[in-house]
Amino acid sequence: MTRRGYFLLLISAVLIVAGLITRQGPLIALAFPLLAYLVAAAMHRPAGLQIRAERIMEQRIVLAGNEAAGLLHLHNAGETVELIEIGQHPPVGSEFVETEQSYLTSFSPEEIKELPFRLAGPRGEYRFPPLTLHALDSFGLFENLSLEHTPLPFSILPPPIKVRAFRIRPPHTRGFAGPIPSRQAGTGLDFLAVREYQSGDSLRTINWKRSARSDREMYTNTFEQHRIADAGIIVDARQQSDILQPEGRLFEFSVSAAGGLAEELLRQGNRVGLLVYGAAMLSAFPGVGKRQMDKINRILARADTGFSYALEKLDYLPTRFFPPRSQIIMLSPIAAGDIPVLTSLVRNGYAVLVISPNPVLFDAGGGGKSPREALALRTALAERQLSINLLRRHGVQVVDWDVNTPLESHLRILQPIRNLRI
Amino acid sequence: MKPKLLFQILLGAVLLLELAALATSPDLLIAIPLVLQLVLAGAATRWPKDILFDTAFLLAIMIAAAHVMLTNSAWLAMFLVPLSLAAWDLCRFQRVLTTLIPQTDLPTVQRTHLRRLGISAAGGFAIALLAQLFTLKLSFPVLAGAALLLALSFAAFASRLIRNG
Repeated sequence: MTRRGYFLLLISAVLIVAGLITRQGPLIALAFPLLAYLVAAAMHRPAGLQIRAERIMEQRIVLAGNEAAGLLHLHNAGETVELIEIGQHPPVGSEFVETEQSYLTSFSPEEIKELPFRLAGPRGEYRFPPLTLHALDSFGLFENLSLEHTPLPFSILPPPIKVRAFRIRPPHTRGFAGPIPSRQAGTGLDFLAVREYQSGDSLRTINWKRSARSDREMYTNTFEQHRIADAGIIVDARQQSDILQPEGRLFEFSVSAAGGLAEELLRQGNRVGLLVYGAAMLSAFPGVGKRQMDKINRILARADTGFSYALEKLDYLPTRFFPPRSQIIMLSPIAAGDIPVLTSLVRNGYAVLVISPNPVLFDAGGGGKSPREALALRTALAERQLSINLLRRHGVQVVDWDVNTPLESHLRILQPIRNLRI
Repeated sequence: MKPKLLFQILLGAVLLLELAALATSPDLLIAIPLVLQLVLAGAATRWPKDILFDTAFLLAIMIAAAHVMLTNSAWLAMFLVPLSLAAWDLCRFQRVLTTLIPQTDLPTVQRTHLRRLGISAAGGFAIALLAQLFTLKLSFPVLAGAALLLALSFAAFASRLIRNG
């Protein structure tokens, strides 16, 4: 029974009791119309609900800034429902756009209704809360409440950062043809070395100039094979790595860059894995193709910074997660304590590229500064440059990324490390 | 007939009956709820809230009860209670109609409800009328027993309310 029903019952009871106490029959008679109304409502109270709800979304993955549109599909498999209030709430963190949160309608047996909805929200993975189906009699005195679970997870992805023609050069490549020079002789386009002629070598590959300088020997050119490689992307999600400014978070740039890099590397045919290192460690084992991109996108949608005593340093970085001698791309602002861990990765045979969104410039913003602030900024930038230089001396490639400039322009001028072990 | 129009007619009839109740027994017990009800009705037209409609309905019942106690005659009150009950129902129902989604079969919902409301109000009035015609004399023990039964029902009702939160 609803609040209205109890209210009516209470008034009837008070009238009857008052009539009994004052011994006035007419007072009791006044309660009869109210009781007749209650009985009429009880006779038409809603039966058990058998409404099946299903959500259908146009896209399960949308980019931040876009709206996720879908339909709430309702099918009445039971008896006629005179009035039903359908209450739908947006997933926590998102909000409905031009969509009613509450609908009142009626249902005939086997009737189907489709209610459209549109959602918008920041980057994240969302699940719909249960749908509330609240059947009422037309008098509004009796009710039947049921919850229909339609979780339907969907993701809002970070805004993409396009990284075209980004090349990696890890020490070890895999067996399949790809875009990465493998440092192994074979069929290819890039010249690798000259060696003595061996029977079976194609005449086309003979280096005639070199052979002419020799009395007896013939020489052939060898070319470098192009293979696919393993790449592991690590997103630093420690709380200390994030800076919150009115215009956004520094972490969001790392996430967007990770998405762009993963997309480009997978497009080239490489195996790409992802590790989000923070309070909640999220990971996608190295894989290839569109499904791997979907997996990475879902993880990036969920990624967030957090504090963990154990994982505040990179000491527990699970490097075995990535294949030996593969390419590791770390997205981190770099703290002083991270340098030994990153250099140890190079010593262990990994090719390490650190893309470091500049926290000093991001924190300083673009506004005018007093001389003292300008001096402080220069000092902080110098300190950061020292850390970067130290990393570069140890064979770590570092991209010092001012997030106000495109990442692609920084990656284009990236110089390969010469002293990599082959 | 549209619920809104019917509601306005009923409201007019209720007001007329209440004024008649005040005229036949000029007492503060009727005058005060009547004034309060007029204030509430004004407020409800500006801010249509359930609490305002509920209070206005409660005041109408109070006016009817006070009239019965003051005049010892139930005829006016017997008309007043079903009419104010119907008005209370319709003010909620017309708000429900405005929130129904477009694809709902509005005329059917409207027709069905008005038919039921009419039958229940007429049925209630008829039972009350019959109760007026037949006088039942109860002895004190029976009366006490009935009061005890009611008290027990109330206790059960209250415990159920608490249990349901």
